[in-house]
Amino acid sequence: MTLNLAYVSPLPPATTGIADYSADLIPHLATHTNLTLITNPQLPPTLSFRAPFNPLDTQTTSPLKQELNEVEKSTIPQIPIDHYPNHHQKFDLTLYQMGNSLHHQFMYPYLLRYPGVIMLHDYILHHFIHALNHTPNSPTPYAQTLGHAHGRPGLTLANQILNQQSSPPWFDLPLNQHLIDTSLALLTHSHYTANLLRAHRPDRPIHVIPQLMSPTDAPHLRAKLPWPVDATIIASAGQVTRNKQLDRALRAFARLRPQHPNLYYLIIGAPNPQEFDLDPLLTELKIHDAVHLTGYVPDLNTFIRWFHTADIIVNLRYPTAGETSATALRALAAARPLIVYDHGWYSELPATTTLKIPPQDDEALYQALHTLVTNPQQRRALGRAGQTHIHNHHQPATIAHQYTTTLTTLYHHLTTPT
Amino acid sequence: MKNTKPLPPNLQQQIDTTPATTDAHTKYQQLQSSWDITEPTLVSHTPLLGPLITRFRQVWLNIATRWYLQALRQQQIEFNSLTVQQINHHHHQLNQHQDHLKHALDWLVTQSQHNHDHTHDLAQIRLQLRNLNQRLDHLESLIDQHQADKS
Repeated sequence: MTLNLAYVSPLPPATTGIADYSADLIPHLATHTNLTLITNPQLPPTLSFRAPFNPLDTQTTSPLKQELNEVEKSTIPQIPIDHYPNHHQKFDLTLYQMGNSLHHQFMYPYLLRYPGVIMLHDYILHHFIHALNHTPNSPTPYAQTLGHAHGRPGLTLANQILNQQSSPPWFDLPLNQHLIDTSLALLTHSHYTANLLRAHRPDRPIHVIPQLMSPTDAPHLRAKLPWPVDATIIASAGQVTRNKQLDRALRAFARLRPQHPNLYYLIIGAPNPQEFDLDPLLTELKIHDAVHLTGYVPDLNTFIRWFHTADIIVNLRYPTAGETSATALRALAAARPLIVYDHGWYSELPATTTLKIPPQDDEALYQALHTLVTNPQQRRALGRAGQTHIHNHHQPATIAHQYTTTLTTLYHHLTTPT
Repeated sequence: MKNTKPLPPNLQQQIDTTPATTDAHTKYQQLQSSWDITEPTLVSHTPLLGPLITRFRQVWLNIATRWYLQALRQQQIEFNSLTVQQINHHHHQLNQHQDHLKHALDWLVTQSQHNHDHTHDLAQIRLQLRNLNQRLDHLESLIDQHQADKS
């Protein structure tokens, strides 16, 4: 059986990792399913999605392909989401790619009105729900959601927060219950999140499909750095926010440096000025000359080349929002040893690829860095194992196959009357 | 409410101890005890002559102003008493309305949860119905083909 699948997600040019994720997944998923993209009319996709090896193209079995009069059979059909209600009965399943940002606002009302299978990229949706617009004279989505999840105390708390009497407890309340309650089934990238979801709704089908990533091999950018060619470089990547714990990483680095003057720290990305002020910290630690900030890197290829420039990647996140870190996987894909906090999804990374330390344990962080800085052989071994892990478990073709198998199983399960 | 989770203790405490709510409760309690105006007791801390001064003031008060102040005090007590009774009555009504509102909000939350569950169930039934229709169409086409083959 070939599924007729509606695929709802932010797509490039939307500047979110989930749009890039979908751009990588869609061509592969379209080789196994009759895929139709449900798009954001306010931000139409700039990529022309094709299924280059789709054996189904010759059969024109997609219910929408004929109706939409697609000129090229290899082009994956698209419909704007406001037309979706007229078509939703034609699909076997609808797959929503949901995350914790306003890039998902266009799909949110449809997700609640036309339940489907939700890939929950973030367990916590608090920031998204809080930022949603609301119509005057009606309860805000924030109050509705807090009320749905926590009853009357939730409504009282929402009123306090909306009246600015207290700040939102971003990481204490996930605000995802209403989506879990409505959805036909849930997908996540980690067993950690799957277990949290099961605790709330043991009756909902919940499956784990790993995050998507391909091994990379790109030339480094050491020539762009004012450091010796044989420098040992520790790096952190992504926008620097408070919960990325860069201050702790830099303090551990500053402790190490007197014994290892050829050691440098590369920050791939830019600090969020509202959350992190880097300069005073560098001055306090006296490491201005040993730290380089690339600034925001808009181009993915350059971003990947910076990973290949580093010897060790530090990817700390506390608290965790139940996220799967693309940065962590990108480090493994680039065959770089990785240091993470041992919690959430990060605990599921194989020990052969990653050094895992207790969250916020500064001594353990120092020791892990010391181990890797002084042991190039271990760095190489961890890096090789990481890249093999990505090759075996995270490549788009493998993930697309897992999606297809899981969705087909779900379809049979859901269509069997109980 | 079948499916609501309690708030974490720190957040529950936060909503229970809002400054405005605590302040209003304290003032209401003060009101219950301060409506009745009691006559002040005259004292003097002057050494040796103190009791004499106090006695003198008491006598003077009785002669000069008690008849006037007593009437005023009585009027004020009556006014305070009526006011506090009225406030207590409204307070009681407010509590009743709050209880009704609480029940209504609980009912709304339950309805919201039922609504989400029904949306889920409806979507699943719709999917099953669609699947059954497809299978029925397939069976009908097989029967048609079979009959065409026979004739």
